[in-house]
Amino acid sequence: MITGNGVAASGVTPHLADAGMPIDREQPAPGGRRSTVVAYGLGLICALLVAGGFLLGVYMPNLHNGLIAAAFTAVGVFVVLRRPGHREGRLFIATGMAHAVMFFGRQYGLYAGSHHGDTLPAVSWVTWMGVWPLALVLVLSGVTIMCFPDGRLPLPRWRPVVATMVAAGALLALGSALWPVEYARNSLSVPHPLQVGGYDTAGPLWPSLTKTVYPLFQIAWAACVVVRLRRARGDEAQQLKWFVYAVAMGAVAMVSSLVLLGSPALGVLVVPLVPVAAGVAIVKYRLYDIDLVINKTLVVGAMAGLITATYVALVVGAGGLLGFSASPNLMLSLVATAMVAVAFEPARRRVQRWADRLVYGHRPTPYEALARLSTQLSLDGQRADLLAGLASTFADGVGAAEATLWVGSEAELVAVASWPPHVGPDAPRTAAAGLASLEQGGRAHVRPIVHQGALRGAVTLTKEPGEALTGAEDRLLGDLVAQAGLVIDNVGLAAELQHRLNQISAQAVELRAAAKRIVAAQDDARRRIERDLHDGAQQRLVTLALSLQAVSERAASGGDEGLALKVDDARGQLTEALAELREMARGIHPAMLTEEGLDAALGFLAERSPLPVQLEVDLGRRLPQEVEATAYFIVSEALTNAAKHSGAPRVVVGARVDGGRLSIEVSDNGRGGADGRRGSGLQGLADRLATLNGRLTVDSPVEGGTRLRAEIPCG
Amino acid sequence: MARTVVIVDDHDGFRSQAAHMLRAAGYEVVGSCADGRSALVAISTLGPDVVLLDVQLPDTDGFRLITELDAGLGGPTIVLISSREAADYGTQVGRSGAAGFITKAELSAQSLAEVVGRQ
Repeated sequence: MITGNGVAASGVTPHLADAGMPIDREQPAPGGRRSTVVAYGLGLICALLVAGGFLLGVYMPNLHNGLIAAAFTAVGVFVVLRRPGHREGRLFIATGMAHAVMFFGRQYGLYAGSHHGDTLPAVSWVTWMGVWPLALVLVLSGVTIMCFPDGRLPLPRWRPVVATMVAAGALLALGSALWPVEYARNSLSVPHPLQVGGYDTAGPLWPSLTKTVYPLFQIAWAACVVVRLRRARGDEAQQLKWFVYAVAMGAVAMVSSLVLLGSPALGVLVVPLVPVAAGVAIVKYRLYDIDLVINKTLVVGAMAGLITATYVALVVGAGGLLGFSASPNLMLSLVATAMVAVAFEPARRRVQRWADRLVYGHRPTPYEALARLSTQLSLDGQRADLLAGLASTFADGVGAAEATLWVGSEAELVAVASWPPHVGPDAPRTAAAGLASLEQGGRAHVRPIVHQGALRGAVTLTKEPGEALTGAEDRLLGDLVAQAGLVIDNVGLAAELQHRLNQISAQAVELRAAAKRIVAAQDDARRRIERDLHDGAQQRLVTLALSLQAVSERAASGGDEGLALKVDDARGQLTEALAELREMARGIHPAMLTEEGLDAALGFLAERSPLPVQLEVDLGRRLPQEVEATAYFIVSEALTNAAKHSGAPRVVVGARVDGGRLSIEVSDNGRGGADGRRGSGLQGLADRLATLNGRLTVDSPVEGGTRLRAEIPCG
Repeated sequence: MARTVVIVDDHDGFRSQAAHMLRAAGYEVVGSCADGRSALVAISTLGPDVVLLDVQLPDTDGFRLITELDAGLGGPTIVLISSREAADYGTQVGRSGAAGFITKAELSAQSLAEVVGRQ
């Protein structure tokens, strides 16, 4: 049998679908053909006995035997044909055949009794065959149930119980074979074929004997089923649930029949459902979700009970209290109906939750699993969270012990998340060569995750030992896998986006570092130029000035006043040129900034400013070169602008270090209207600031003065 | 008796022109040094009345050299010179202990006499 229709629904290619489906094949047992022939033969015999029996009439005391015979044999034959050599199938056939023989024998006897057919051939012996095996047939039926679903007892310790049952059954059958102790109870009037002595002793003892032993048989098989159910895991648990469900429904039908109809007829008709359910459990249990059936039955049953109870309590109970007559009261009926209508949906939700807890335990229902996945998708989580959540949903949804999510392509798959999560910082990111290698890795269940026709990943699941995926779990897995493709696609896009953002961020960091290096290099160059001017051109010109001075003095002492004046004039011009050169050098890079720091340099700027400057400087320490230089040039530019454009009587310059940031403020109360963005030397300084993660703001309303603020991180 | 002078400057041409100017003005130039180390030796051995000291030297600067000289009372009158202005050095000139500061472009017998005369 191949299951896994959910995968095909996800749009997977046939190859992948085949690869992703769990395979559950049973090898045919040796001698399968002989087994098939025997099964058909026994089925035919049973059909003849049951059909022949019903041709003789329908007798209520014997009806259940016919139905049980037909149902057990049919299911047994079906099972053996599907699973040749299946032990439980054989037990079913045996039970069915035994009931068929008994059914026919009793039908024969009942017919003879009601039609004065004492002359029917071998009527006493045939009838006898329908009576005496009863105890042994009960034992056989019990053992068949005890061995469900695999035809074996759950544990060896049950063997003594079975042996005791067989011994007791054999003794009772012997008694029944010797004396007509069961005849009257089964409405049989045909004489017993063996007329041996001792009936007077056995007859009175029989009712108490059977009332003790037969219930013990029932207790034995019921206990065995309960024990097996408690120990069962996986497939066996699912199979037993089918059986228990059928027995429970049969019991409910029987009780309802007796209470409501006063007759077991309905219950008897339901009895064949038990072997049918057992057959489904053996052969087809994976196709139908028993959990869902039980869940819905519990909800419907509980709701029916609640509605009935409400109605009865109101119409009968409240009606009686209020003194209404026993006859139906329209008003109370309407009130009851209205109350039921109002309370129906809340009650249904509560009952549904109760049923979910009862059936699924801590596991989410399929709907909850899908809803959980949907919620996970809608949350703006990190990539790792989303994938871990997906793995967890897979594991919880199908009750797997372990689930691993793989992402990649046909060529390579990488494990990106697993449930339960691997502990430790270096959770293994195992790589697999592809889907085929996952399937060869001994993993119980492998499902490819396909989106838009391409393999995006896979999920591998491991269930507890002995557990297989049920049909419903398989379908849920298919639905989850179909959604997972989209998740992985989205996560992949998000990851790609994140990757790009990281790249851009890294580039931005690199660019900023590069810009910083450029500014530093510019500062170095400025310092070098200033020094070169100082050490080179200025020195030569100074020497030249001294030479001119000497020439002038010699000319004067030689009496050539005209030459002396001309040389003095040249020297005067040279001195002016030197002054301009010093100013230019200072503009390139102020020596004072290097020598004395920003505090002194700002003081120097203030002294040389054409406008009066009020200094409010509190630095406390030397700052990094590039910070000092930037701050100096900002103040220098601001003071120049203020002198040129503001018309203010004075300027205030503030500088302080606060929390690792240098704040510079230059403000005046002039005419304002300055634009710090365009056509201003400040723009270049703003760019320079940006390389230091600094910020420049200019607030200059018209006629409202100008306030320039710069903030520079300074460590 | 003429005042003795030691000129400390790393530019040969400047030293030469300055010495010429000072001699013309009546000073006796007893020493001429191009760096701080030789200046320390010359000043301590020659004991000049005046030291014309450039701020920027190849192995040290004028301010530090003054500290190392530890001139004290009776020491030479030290006059700092530089192609930069005094303002370019902030408060260092005032704190240095030098008798005065002359921008090289404005160096003359008169400007020197003014500074030395204040002493």
